[in-house]
Amino acid sequence: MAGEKLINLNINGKPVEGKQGQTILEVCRGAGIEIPTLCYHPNLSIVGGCRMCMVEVEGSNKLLASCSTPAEDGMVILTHTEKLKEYRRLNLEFLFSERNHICPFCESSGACDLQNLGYEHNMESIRVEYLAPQLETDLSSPYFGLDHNRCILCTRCIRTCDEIEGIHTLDLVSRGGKTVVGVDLHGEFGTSTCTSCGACVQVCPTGALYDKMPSYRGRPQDLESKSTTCPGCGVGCGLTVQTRYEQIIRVIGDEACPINTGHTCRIGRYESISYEAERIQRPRLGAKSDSTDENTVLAKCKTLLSKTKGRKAVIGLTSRATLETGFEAKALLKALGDNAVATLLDVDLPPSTTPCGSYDKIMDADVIWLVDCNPARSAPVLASMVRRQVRKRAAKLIVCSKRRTDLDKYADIKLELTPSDVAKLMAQGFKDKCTDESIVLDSPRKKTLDQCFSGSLKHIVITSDRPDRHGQLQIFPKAELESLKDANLDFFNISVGTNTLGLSAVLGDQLVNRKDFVGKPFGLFIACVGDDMSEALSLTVRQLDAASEATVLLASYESEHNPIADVTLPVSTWWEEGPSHIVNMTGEIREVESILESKAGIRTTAATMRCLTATFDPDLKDGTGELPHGNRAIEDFLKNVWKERKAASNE
Amino acid sequence: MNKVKVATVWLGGCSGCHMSFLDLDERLIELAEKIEITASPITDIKEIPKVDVGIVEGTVCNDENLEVLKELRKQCKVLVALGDCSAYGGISSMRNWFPKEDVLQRAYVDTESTTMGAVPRSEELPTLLQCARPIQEFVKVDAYIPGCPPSADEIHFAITELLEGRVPVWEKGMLHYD
Repeated sequence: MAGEKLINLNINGKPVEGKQGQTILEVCRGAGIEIPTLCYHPNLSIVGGCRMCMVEVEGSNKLLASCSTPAEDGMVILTHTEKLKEYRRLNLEFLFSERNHICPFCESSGACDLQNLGYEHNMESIRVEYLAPQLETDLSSPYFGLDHNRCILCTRCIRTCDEIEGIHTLDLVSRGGKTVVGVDLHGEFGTSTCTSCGACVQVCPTGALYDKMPSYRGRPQDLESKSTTCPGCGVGCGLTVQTRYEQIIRVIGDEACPINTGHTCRIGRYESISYEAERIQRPRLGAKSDSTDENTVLAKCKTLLSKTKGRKAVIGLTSRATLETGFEAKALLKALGDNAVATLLDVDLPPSTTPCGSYDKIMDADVIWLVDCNPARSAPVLASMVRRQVRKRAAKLIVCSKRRTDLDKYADIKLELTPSDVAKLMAQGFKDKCTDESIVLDSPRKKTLDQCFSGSLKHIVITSDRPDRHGQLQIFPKAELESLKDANLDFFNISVGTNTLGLSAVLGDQLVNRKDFVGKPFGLFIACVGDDMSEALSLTVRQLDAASEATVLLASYESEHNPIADVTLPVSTWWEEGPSHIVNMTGEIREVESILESKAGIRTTAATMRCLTATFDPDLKDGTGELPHGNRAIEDFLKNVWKERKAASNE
Repeated sequence: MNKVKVATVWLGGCSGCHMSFLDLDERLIELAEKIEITASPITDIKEIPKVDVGIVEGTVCNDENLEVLKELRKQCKVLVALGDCSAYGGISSMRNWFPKEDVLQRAYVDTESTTMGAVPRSEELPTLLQCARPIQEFVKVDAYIPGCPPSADEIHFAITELLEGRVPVWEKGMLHYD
């Protein structure tokens, strides 16, 4: 490989080895030589705009930006001469004097690249006149603010918005000294095309973009950082959660997680934390005022069970429930008797729950089919992958939906077809290398569509199992296509919730669709809501509560959307559940860590279920003993399940 | 030994830097043997005599600030900028991103607790400059003690260095802008 060829350089008088294709900056950082940068970010394209990384290269009569200059064999480079240090300091003074960078009242003070470089370069004074411009502040977003006074125009936010989130809401507007970062040209965040993913805030090197909720609640040195998995959807992004005094201050994307490499979405970054919801503190019978001790409550549960004996019992789980909770649910089902089943409260169970391919396949696809789904809402990071791939003209996007989707504007072709019609179209396309005349499209688009089937292009089909207008679940018949020999196809089913795959693997046939119970009376309903406060979930809980004779609620937060249950038991939130595991849509085991200590007297959902199991059937007080320990064991367990399912579906 | 004569002034600032100077606590006694504080908000002496060291807290916000600053520069050998306001503009320069008239209107008329307010326009009063600016934009500054406020230790370090005849150099770790 050309990239692996080694080159030899001389940096600051010492021989340094680098790889061909690397920039001077990459070679230096690889060798532990720290060159200051502001506009450079390893995940983004290079602009060479801030001029902090200038170096002297022998044979060149001007200074070169190390971030944008390719390293060459035999180069002699000086990175920290007195001249460079002085230029860098002057450069900083220009940056400081150009806008209103007043550190004492900046949220980012203490975590600011610009400030740190000032310190590094002993910048004790600014020798040029301040321009003191009068600039706007955009506070229209509910999540973050943009203060142009603190912007150095490094364009990291713009490049992130364009290259990572793939939405390009931000760009430079106006010229020269009047240049500012513009939101949809001259708009503001609150009413813009912005997806509120917050990635721009994460990469801002100054205090120009800052999160509102964490503001002034702690500087990096005051905060503790831990990594965990996002509870938001089935993508399973890694998050870095910063806490202080046992409170979550800020959530950012985990740079070390290969799924999202630092990126995350509005749900992960901002919506997954309930800053204001009130915790359920104690077990209770009926309304909030009837709080009592756990034994009374458990005794009541036993009475409820014997009262409803002989009728179907249902355990409702949020798809956020961890694998560990899944195994406890299995034990609880056993304790409840033969007539008991489990269901998911927030998602319709996809009938063929097996993992999808890896996310790399999206970033490698030539044709992306979005079939009756809207990933921008239900799996935003996956949507950002699609946008990235489509916007760099690497893939064609074909949106097939009778509804409007957020990705319509990126589509090369929009077809108003049902999932089964799409499957027919694709089957024919792969067979005949073109589509028939029944597809009504103007000729350039028809040509594009036919081109998608020519050659051996890599296709990705992203679907979700959604009910149509009549409540009928629309399922993409992927088996019909999988049997085609010529098709290079991969499927993503984004209707799975956070841990649907894991729960389905553990519970198997005992996990049935929620639709089966609505309006059909049954006995005991044990609703494990956890900290999930989504509307879809609350609606199902209310429907099943109405159908059941008695309800036991396991929840973290007081919620007016939840019914007043016969019995309510407090459980921990996602951030206190760990250490536990979930399985994301690609079948990868993701670890859920304990970010916060659990509150006194409040157990995890799994432990609370164990209490119920022991109450109903003392023989099962240690569970069923099936829980695999360690990632390796879980992996083996899952592999077996997928193998069995694959075999079953082939029969 | 002759004591080093020092004058300090307080321009547009919050007096926090002078408070931080008083935070030297028992070290003040030791310092009092080496320096004599002449004109200063601490001694309440207004006339600035000829001094060795002039220390400035605060931003140049109005024409009186500017007059005092120029007077001190004339009277001292070494001029020291104490704190962020005098060195970089600091909190006082928050008003720079609003037009001057809006700032006066907000302060004297629009504030929620004001009834029948009016912007004072007496000729006796100093006039606000268009922008609040750090002192080095008007006079030559010989040494800086950054920080909002600089800690007592940093002030002690700077004064000790100056008494030794050296300009204090702020290494990373000691320098801070907040």
